[in-house]
Amino acid sequence: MTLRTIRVLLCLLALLAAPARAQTMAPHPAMDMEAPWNASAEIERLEGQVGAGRATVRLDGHAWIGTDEDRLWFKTDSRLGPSGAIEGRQELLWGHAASTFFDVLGGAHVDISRDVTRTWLAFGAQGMALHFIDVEAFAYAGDRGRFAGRLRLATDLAFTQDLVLQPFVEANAYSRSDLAGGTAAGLSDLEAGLLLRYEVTRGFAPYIGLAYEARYGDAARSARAEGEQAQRLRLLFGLRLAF
Amino acid sequence: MRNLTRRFMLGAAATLLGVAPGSGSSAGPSAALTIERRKIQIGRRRADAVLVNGSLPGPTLRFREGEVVSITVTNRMDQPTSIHWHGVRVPSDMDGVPGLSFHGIAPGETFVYRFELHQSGTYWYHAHTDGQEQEGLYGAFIIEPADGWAEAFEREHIVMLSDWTDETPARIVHNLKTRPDHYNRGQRTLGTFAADVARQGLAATLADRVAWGEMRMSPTDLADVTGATYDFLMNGQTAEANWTALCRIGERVRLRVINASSMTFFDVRIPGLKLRVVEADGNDLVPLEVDEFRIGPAETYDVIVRPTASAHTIFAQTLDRSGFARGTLATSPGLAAPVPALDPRPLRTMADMGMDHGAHGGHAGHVMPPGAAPNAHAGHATGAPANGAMDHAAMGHGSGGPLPVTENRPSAGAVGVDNIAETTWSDLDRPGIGLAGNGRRVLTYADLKARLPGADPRPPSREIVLHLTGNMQRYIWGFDGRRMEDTGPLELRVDERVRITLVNDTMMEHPVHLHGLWSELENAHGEFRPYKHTIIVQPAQRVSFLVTADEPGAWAFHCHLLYHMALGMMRTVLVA
Repeated sequence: MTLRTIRVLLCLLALLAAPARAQTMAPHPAMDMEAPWNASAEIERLEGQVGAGRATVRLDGHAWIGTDEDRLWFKTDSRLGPSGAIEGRQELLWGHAASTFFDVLGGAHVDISRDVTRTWLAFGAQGMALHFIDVEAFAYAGDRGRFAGRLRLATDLAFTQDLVLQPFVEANAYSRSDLAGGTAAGLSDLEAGLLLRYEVTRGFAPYIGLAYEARYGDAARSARAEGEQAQRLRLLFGLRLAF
Repeated sequence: MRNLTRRFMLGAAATLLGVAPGSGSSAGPSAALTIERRKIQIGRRRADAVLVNGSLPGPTLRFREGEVVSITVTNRMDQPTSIHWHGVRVPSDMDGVPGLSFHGIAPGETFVYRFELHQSGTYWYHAHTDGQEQEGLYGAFIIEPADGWAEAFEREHIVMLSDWTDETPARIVHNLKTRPDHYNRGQRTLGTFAADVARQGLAATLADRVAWGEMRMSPTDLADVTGATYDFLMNGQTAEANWTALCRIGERVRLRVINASSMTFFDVRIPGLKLRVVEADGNDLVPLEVDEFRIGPAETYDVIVRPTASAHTIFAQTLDRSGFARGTLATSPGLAAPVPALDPRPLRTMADMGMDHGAHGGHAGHVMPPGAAPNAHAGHATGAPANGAMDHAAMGHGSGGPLPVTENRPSAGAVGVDNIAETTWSDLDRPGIGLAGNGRRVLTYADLKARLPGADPRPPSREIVLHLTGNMQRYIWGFDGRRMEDTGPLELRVDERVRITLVNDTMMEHPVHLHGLWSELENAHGEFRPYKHTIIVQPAQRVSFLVTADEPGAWAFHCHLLYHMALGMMRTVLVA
């Protein structure tokens, strides 16, 4: 797991550094026939969490590099514990523009939990649905016939030009329960909340938020076994960063 | 900062003297331009600029019709560059588009442009490489008529409008690619929702929000790059620096207004004075008095004004009302007149999207006049979009009879297409968003009447319909749903006469520029149709122009919004 963690971190760093390199490339000269490359990195949530007697840092973000049509994506939703251990979702995906508003993506998905690391094939779509709702919908196929799915919906509601409320909901479901991985058959966990951010600049926005987190079935049991609550309401403070 | 700017301008003036075209030589007049990159401060923003002979704008080049001119351009930067003579009819290899008409000017290299001037009027030059136009490589190019100006005046000034930022062009592209509303500081909020409910009721407000939500577009999308990053300049100076044009009360002052901006439409007026419009894009018009005109990137208008007071403000507010350029027409330096407030920020409507506006009522001020069909070829309602190429004979083309039409309709749902205008309009007497009903007489394309009849009386032999398309969310632009890199050249035969019809499927204005050949705007003035080099196409509008392909070669044809061109809205026109 340690080796894999290092690899994941290196990958994240490389992709975060990519926009800085890409920015030195000017938009293509008037007659350059090649599609220009772009890159982007965004940390949607960088947040400290205190609960169940241990402090963690949550890092939820993504980075991509590529053209209008094809992009290499790295996505992470990681929790860094006090011991330096990383848990959470890591994805390396190839994305292709499929329609006006949606991309299809495929690649590898790694779930790292305290006791076990599971690797999945990932396939999904993301984009902007009607009424400016950002959608991420993914299906995962793991070893020994395990399947999983993830859905995330979010949208931005502007109070002013700088103060933006983001309601979001994210849910994970699994075909089989997995006590070691801390997941349940059927709907395993759900997070729904409201993040209120203030955009000091487009790339730097502190936020406060309120989130309801719930784990169900065996996921709830394994949470309780680790001394955590299966359902809780959290007050969040964090930073949203774009590069 | 003021001092820095002033010192900089003095330096610019000094270099200007050094560039006065030489004369008397048998080789014709010449000019020498040196391009370098240097950090300069304009107003509150210090940034890397691309300077011509040390100044921004670059020096004004002034020649006479009939002369064979030599312009030596030396590149002192560590990257390639180019200069394009916008609107000047030159052989293709002198047009200055890297990769198309020449190889560009490499670092350290000197390139000699040499061409004969067959025309007169107000033109300009700018870089055609990367984002160097944004960074300051532009200047005026004036050609005096061989037999004098058609309209008398006692004095003249160049009024060059531009946009200036300390963000690099590459950073702006990155920002637009990752968050297309990055520079939009006029978005709908809870506050505008409450105001709309108070004004038109909850049901109408919700219906309106639902309609835009279904399109996944924002009616506040007036400009992609705005006053959030730009300062707007008049002859290289900010509004605060107040560039001053000296004049005497009562004399006729000709203002050569050039929009050298990268991304900004300006609405220009001088409160209290009538503007006598005498020239558009370098070509003489039947003079016409207006209060205000909209000028798109790369367009030029010459107006003659008669000052009645010791100071008049030259006011150029941006289309999205996020800022303004300003100067003063004054009898002595240091004078100023009141500066008007910015007009209210307009909103796009469903009609701008080419939607049947009747279904989403409640948008006053931008309504299609019923039965308006002033053009000979109006009534081309675009039906349900069909995919693929088609060749068909169009009906109802008036004088010319049925013309063969080439049209490649964009596909709905394609990656580069976020909208297809279902209801287009083709009258030219609308001044544009935010101008209708402002109480001022605003110039429209229907007003432009050439002083002389066109040189080529032939009717067009065929029509080429091109759709202006884009995907704001992905920040991709193109013709017919395709970016530059996805298409081949548009082929014209030498001396062929064609009609090009542009259909704007996007909800933004596009100033479309055809290099090398004139674009004869088909308005209601028949053979007195104006010759232009850059034509604004408004949202959901259908505009036609005639082209005589009288200069062989490969020519660029593109939207003159810099980042629309860079991100795909460009074609090659091959005359062979």
